[in-house]
This record gives sequence, C-alpha cells and structure tokens, in this order.
Amino acid sequence: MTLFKRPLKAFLSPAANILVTVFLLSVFFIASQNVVQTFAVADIAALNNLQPQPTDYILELSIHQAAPDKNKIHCYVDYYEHLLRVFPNLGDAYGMLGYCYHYLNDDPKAIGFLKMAIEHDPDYFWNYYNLAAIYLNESRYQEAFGSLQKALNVPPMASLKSMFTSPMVYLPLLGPDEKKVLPYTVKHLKESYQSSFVLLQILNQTGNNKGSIEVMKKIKPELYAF
Amino acid sequence: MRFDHLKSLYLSGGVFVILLVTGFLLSERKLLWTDELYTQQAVIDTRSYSDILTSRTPEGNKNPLFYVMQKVVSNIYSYHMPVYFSGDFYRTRDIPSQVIMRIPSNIYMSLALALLFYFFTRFFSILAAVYALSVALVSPMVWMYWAEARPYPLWFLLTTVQLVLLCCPFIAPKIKTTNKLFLTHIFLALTASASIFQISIAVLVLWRRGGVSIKKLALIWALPMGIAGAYYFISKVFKIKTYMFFPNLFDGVMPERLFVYVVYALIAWVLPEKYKRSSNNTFFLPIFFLFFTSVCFLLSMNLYTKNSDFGFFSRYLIYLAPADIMMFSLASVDLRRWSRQNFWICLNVSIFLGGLVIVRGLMTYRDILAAATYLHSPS
Repeated sequence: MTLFKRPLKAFLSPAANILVTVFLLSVFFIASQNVVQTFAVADIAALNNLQPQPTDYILELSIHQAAPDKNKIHCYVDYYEHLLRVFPNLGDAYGMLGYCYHYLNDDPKAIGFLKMAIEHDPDYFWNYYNLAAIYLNESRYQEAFGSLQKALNVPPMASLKSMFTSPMVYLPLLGPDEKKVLPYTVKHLKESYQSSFVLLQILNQTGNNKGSIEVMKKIKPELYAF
Repeated sequence: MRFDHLKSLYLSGGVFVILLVTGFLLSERKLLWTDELYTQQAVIDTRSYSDILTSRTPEGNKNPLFYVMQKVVSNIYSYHMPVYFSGDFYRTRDIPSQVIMRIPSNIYMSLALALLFYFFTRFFSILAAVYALSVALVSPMVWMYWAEARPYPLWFLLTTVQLVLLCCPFIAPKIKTTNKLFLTHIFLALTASASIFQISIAVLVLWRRGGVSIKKLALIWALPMGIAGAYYFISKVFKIKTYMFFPNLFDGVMPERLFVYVVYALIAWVLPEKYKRSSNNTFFLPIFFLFFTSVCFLLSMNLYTKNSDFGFFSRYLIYLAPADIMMFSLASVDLRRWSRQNFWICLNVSIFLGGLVIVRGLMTYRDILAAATYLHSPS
C-alpha cells in the first residue's frame, strides 16, 4: 500500500515516528501553555463570583455598628485576598483586610495589613485611625500616638478622594447611591478627626499623668471602614 | 497487572478514603448556595419522612432517596441549619453546615470514583485504573458537584454502579448482575425522574445481549419507570427551558473525547477487515451512543419550551459524565493495547491520550478557578 507515492511502511519507520512524537509533544505543550495563560483571566472572573453578599454588610457594620458576623466577614476577607492576588498593589484592599481581620480577632494580622495599606496609600485617614485604635486596645500608647499624629496630617479631602475613586474596594461597599452616603462619610470623617485630636491630647499626657493612663484604659475605640 | 477481588477492594478502599478526605477539604472551602440552603430548610429540616416519600415538599425536583439519606445524616448529627435563609443570599458561609450537609454527597462521589478504580483494577490493570481515575478527576462535573448537598452526586454514583453492572457480564460473563441492576434502577427512579432514559437504555442493552427472560426484563424496566413516573406527576411539574444546547452538552461530555470515540469506532467497526481490531470493550460504544442520544434528546426537548419556570442546567445531564469517563477509559485501554506491537506507535498513542487528559485537567482547573468554587478559606 502506498500513501503519497511512498510505501506506508516508510511512515512507520522510527524516524517518522520520532517526528510524530515530537509533533504531539509540541502540540500538547502549546495547548497546555495556552490554557495556563488563561488562568489570569480565570482569576479575574473568579472575583465576580467571590463578591461577598450582601454587599451592604460592611456599610451596616461601619455605620450602624451591627454585630460582627464572622462568617460574613470571612467572605469579605476571601474576596480581598483574591483581589490582592490579581492586583497586588491595591492599597485599599490591604486596608479593608486590616479592618476585617480585627473583627476576626486577629489583630497581629490586622496591624500587618494596615501597615501595608499605609505603605500603598499614605493619604487615607482611616488606615492610620484603625491602626491607632488597635494599638489603643492593646495599650500600645506610644505607637497609637504616632499613628494618630499621622492620621491628623492627612488632608480630609485626600481621604474622601481615596474613598470615592476606589472602584474595586470602597465604591462597591458604599453602594450605588453616592449622594446618599456622602453626607454620612463627610460627617463621620469630621467627627473622627475631632476624636483623634482629643485622643492625641490624652495620649500626650499619659507619660506624666497616671489619671490619663486610667482614662486611656477605658477607651476602646471601634474600627471603621470609612 | 490485574488484581484479584480482595486486592482490588483494598486498593479501592484506600482510594475511597483519600477521596473522602479530599471531599471534606473541598466542602470546607465551598460556600453553601441557594439551592442547598433551600433544600435543607424547606425539605430536610421541616418535613417528615412520610412527607418526603409522598412528595409533599415545596421542591421542584423529585428526589426522595436523596432527601431521605440527607435527613438520616441530619438526624444522626442532630443537625438543623443554623443559618436563616431568607432567599436573598446567594452564598452563605457556615463551616459545620458546609461539612455536615455535604457528608452524603461526598460519600457518593468518593464511592463512585473508588468503584471506577475497583472496576479497572479488577478487570484491566492498575495502570488502567489510575488512568480511569485521572479521566474522572479531570471531568468538570465531578468537581462542580462533588461537594454539594444536592442529588447530583447520588445520581452520579448510581449511574456509575449501573454502568459497572452493565459492563461486568460483557467482560466477565460468569458474573450475574441482573438483580443488582434491578435494585440500582429502583434507586435511580427514586433519585431522578430523568433516569427513565438510562433505565430504558440498560434494559435495551440487556435485552439485546440476551440471557435474561422477557418477564424479568419487563419487571426491571416497568417498576422503576412506574416509580419515576409517579414521582414526576404526583406534584407540580415545572417547565424548564434549554437556552444553550452545546455548552450544556459539553459539560457532560468532553468534545475532544468525542473525536477519540469516532476514531475508536472507525478502527473497531467501519474500517476494512484488514485494519479492524477486535476488542471486548467495543460493546460500550452503543451504550455510550444511547446515553449521548438521550442527552441530546433531553436538551432538544427543552429547547422549544415556552413559558418556562426555570432554565435548563447542565447538572441535569450529570448521568452522561460517568458514561463519558467509562467510554474514554475503555477506548484508551483498547487503543493502547492495539498499538502495543509497535513501540513508537504505542508511545505516540500514549502521549496523545495522556495529553488529552492533561490539557482537559488544566481546562477544568481554570473553569473551577473562574467559578471561584473552592476559593474560600476554611478557617
């Protein structure tokens, strides 16, 4: 029997077979590479499916101080951790992870993430404030003092800008109606600047005043996402 | 190397334990979703066994066997779902619920895969068994429904049992499986109404093969059909519509495997006598073809539904996945055996079949990653 004017046996020779082997290996190698290259797209697609629900839970937790539900907070952690896998330089996600880990009773992790958030975005008041709040809860007054000082140095408008120009982290949490949440966020930011200033004054006296230390021990500030 | 019954059993037992542990790890990492929550709350936690058996449940699906088993496990663990499901949550995290609610499904899927492993170890070789297990483990259906408190893993297990029992007499004629098949058909009828297709196919195959009386065949067919029909019509029948034919179909059967089946069928049946290869495994081709046709029929039937209540999901085709896994493994065993005489051809065939499994594995990993099914942290 002949194929393309050559005996079929020629196609079964070791040389021809080696060629086929190389061809098959190349085809599967290229196919595998092509599939592996689409893993990055799959990672992004996963973000859609990881989006925590209900989306307004953090807003409820931050505004109305709703009871922390660890299961729901875990879902947010999973989402932000995956978000960082896809976009490693997203400072806002580090900040939210710090916030969430505090409510999961893992303050060492929360501190680590908040510090990273500050590294990535030094112009967001709440990261400094939350870091200071954790330090105060742990009676680490000197570090709390430093953090509050930095918080007060952040221009309020810069914080608002960070918040409302964060399409992947803060904006989805604030909900679709920006006008509805803007008054609250501005009011809350103003109040928190004031309370930070008061805290800073009390902390300033803790070094030489026992009464101030007693006062500080009673203060257990909450953390806020915005 | 082929193993005897006891050795195969021990090996499969080991595989089962590994798969079971894997299933628990997967359960921890997968959130509960609407359907699982609804079934647990509307049926398992609130309805009695008699309600379930008489189909007095608000569920659209009729899966009494699944509900009963789920309720048994819930009773053993004195488990009631602590999460209040109000219908507006798509995914809910509760690790104990995730694990307990999915214990039966995890056992079903692990048993199905271990049974496949046993079948290939017992009748072929350990290499074929490992290969068949890999073929199963790269199937997206396995990963999508392994850790899910829904009837699909039970359907997958019963289909696997049905196919193994159907194959045994062809491979080892001394083994009688008719009675076991009858029992499997009863369980299938109690698991999914759509199992009427596979029950009919199995009876058709038994009839064609011969050796079973018409009376017995009628019983094996009629009783399960009656049960499935009764459950189907006893409560409200929801209309479902197929929106996408091929994406649904290709969840159940891998397109690249269809190509292999065509090549396999050509070599085994169509080519001139000179090139034809005989094998004990080609008996599975018509079985697979009938399963495939029934799936296409099911999809086409729902393609023209008007005023539907729900969309058609590929999970209703899960019974095709074990047939596809079995077909691809049996065809691969044959193709490799046929090419064994020539080292190079054998190597190339092995690379081709192995390559298909590896690429499919990567694609399944990508799809499961995109669905974010197991991306939730367990702690």
